[in-house]
Amino acid sequence: MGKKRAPALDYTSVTMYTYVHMNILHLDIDAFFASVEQRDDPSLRGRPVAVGTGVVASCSYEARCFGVRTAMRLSEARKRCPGLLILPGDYRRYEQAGRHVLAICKDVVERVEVSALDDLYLLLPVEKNDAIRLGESLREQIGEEVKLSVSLGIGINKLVASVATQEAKNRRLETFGGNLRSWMDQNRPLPPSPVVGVDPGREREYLAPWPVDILPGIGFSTLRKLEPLRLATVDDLAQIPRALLCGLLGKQGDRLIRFAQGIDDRPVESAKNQTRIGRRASFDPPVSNREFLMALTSHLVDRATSWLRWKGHHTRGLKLFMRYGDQQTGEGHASLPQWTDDESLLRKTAQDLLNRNYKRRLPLRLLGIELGPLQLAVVEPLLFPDPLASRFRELVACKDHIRARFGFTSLQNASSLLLDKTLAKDRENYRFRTPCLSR
Amino acid sequence: MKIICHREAFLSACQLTASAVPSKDVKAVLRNIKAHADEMSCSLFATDLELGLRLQVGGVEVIKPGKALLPAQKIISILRETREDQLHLDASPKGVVVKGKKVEFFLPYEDPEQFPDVPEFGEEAWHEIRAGDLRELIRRTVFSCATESARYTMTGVLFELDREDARMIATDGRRLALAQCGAKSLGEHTTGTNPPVVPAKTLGVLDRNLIDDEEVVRIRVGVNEIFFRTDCSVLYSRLIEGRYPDYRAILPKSASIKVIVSAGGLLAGVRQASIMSDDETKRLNFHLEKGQITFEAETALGGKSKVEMAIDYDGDEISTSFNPQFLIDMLKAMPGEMEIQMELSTSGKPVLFRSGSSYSYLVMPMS
Repeated sequence: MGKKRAPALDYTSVTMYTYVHMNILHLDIDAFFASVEQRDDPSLRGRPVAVGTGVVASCSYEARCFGVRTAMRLSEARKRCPGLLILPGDYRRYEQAGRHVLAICKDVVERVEVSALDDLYLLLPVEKNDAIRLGESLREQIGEEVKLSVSLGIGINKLVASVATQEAKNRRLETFGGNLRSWMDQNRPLPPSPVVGVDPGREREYLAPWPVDILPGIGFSTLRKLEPLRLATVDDLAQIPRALLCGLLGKQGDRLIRFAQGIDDRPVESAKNQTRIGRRASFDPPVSNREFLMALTSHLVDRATSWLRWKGHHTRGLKLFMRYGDQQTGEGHASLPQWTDDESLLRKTAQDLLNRNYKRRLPLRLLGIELGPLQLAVVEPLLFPDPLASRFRELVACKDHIRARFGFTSLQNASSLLLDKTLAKDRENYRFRTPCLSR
Repeated sequence: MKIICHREAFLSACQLTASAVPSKDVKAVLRNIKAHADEMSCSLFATDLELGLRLQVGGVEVIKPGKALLPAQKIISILRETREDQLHLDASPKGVVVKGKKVEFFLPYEDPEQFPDVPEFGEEAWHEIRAGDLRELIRRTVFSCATESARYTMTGVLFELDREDARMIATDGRRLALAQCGAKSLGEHTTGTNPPVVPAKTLGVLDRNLIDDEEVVRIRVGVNEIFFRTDCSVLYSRLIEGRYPDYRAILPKSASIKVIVSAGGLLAGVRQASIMSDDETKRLNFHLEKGQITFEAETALGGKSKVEMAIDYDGDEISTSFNPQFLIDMLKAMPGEMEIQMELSTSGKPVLFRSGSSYSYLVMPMS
């Protein structure tokens, strides 16, 4: 049987003199990690599966029948679903599947933004109905080739498209008549989710009934700040005077008002020139052991700098950020005297920042570092070779080589060895609270 | 202390001396200029503990000898803003009164004894160099010093003094400048096997302080210090400690390709082409072929430039690339009509720019 292929789109046929319809299609892979696990191991199919250590990073629809949700503690998940199968996760397989989906999308349109592995935005130069047809054929093709189900939403901007995807997911669940469990018990395959398209010009109206936290940028701390306003829906938010919201949230207020009114001018960027690189880890329960945090900082710098070397980039600054047990955050920033990828310098800088900025006597639930701005390393050979520096470079190259072959955790810096005693690890990383989401 | 000074002369002396006043807060008292008047003359002194400058001021009439501390910023502002030809400075334990016909300022007292001592030049042995020559040495080398502190000795200039000549060498590890001029040694004064490394800032201050090309500068190197003395000033500086890299080992002994170009022409070509080189690329490609040299550059976003220049060359084609700023720095320090010999061997090897036997500039090409 010949494979069905979505037709490739041609931008050149669009002349600048005609009115151009542009729609953005948002694609989200359903229950990504859990679906990949079920796809690769037939014995898991039809059974409740969760991926994660500490908290649920992803869970199958079977697990959702029991009330298991993403970001729920595993102990809680087990309580709700006693037969839950918990897997630690294998990021490389997920990445492979994600790349496969991306490749299929790139066959159809040029402009695809990878927001996350399972979260893509496609820029389609067609009107809504054509976009829906295209989405349906994409969904079918991905189902056949990658054996994963996806949800799709279409709108004239990224915000509306992503909310439409959420609606697609909800509508899919509604087809079971609100009783997913009995559907599953009958061993009936899940139907595909519909492709939801939002008519241009009706963005504000469409977003109005949704709860406020559907908007990007509204997390725990923003919600707390908004509490006194008693907002239930996006519409409530859209009616708040701009000055009031800006007074409460600063610059973010302005952005939120625009979002609430359905205005979002974030472009779809296919290959973003990366200007920052971050590595973070979260823990549950929170940690206050300073030696452990020092070791972890060293580990995060090690991971970030190996990425820098792999990309051939240098950085000029380093930011360290942390979230305390009570959700308050703290951060520190250091500028470096020159463009560098020198691991020992970056490690020392990061550890100094931790010492200076970790002041409150509360344990941390998240620690991260960010390197940036970045630029391509310009190699200027030296007149006087520095034997120490060149030996260090050789050592680092050797380290990268070994890790490429035997996995990242096959070789550890002595400064992060302490993590070995307290954390489980796999080939590529230690297992933090959310292994697959901990970059 | 009580003196009558000529405002403009005193202002320029204060401005010159203030170049030794520390920009950062090292010690509060160092933000002053110390004035010292004896029967015959008046001198100004400032120091940041690393370097110190003493200057004799002309056009001062001493009424009562003595010492006073003048806050550098304030006294310069007063001298600059007032419009009178002559000003009276009267220092007493209460403070310093600066008085003209229609203006009067009072500066609070600070104890001159708190100001650090001035090391003396000493009169045993020294070198003599013509000020014009010394200034050329400085201007042709000091831009090559490292600015980052990773290899600290490279932030200074190596100063070699032999019996009959003086050499300054500066490098930041990617380029090296070597300038040489004649000098006269008196009393067997040489730097021997352990030549001093002079901070770049000191040479900057010295450069500003050399006004008359024909005057003779006396130089004495001591243990961890160096003195430069002209007719009316003494500059004292501490040296940078540490091992300077062996520059002789990296100077190429021979070159297979030699091209002669004019400094002005080369500078124009490099400047034009480097319009299209940015901080991210920092690269200028050189292509040498029969009868011409081509400079090319590219920006990170794809902008390009190509500049051709006719030269007298009949050898093989060769390409190499540099950080254009390295060439501009050097060429700016040269008179436009000066002929420069470019010496290359193979593309990956450093390129030597030479002007006679007195100046060599070595640049490492980019990989």
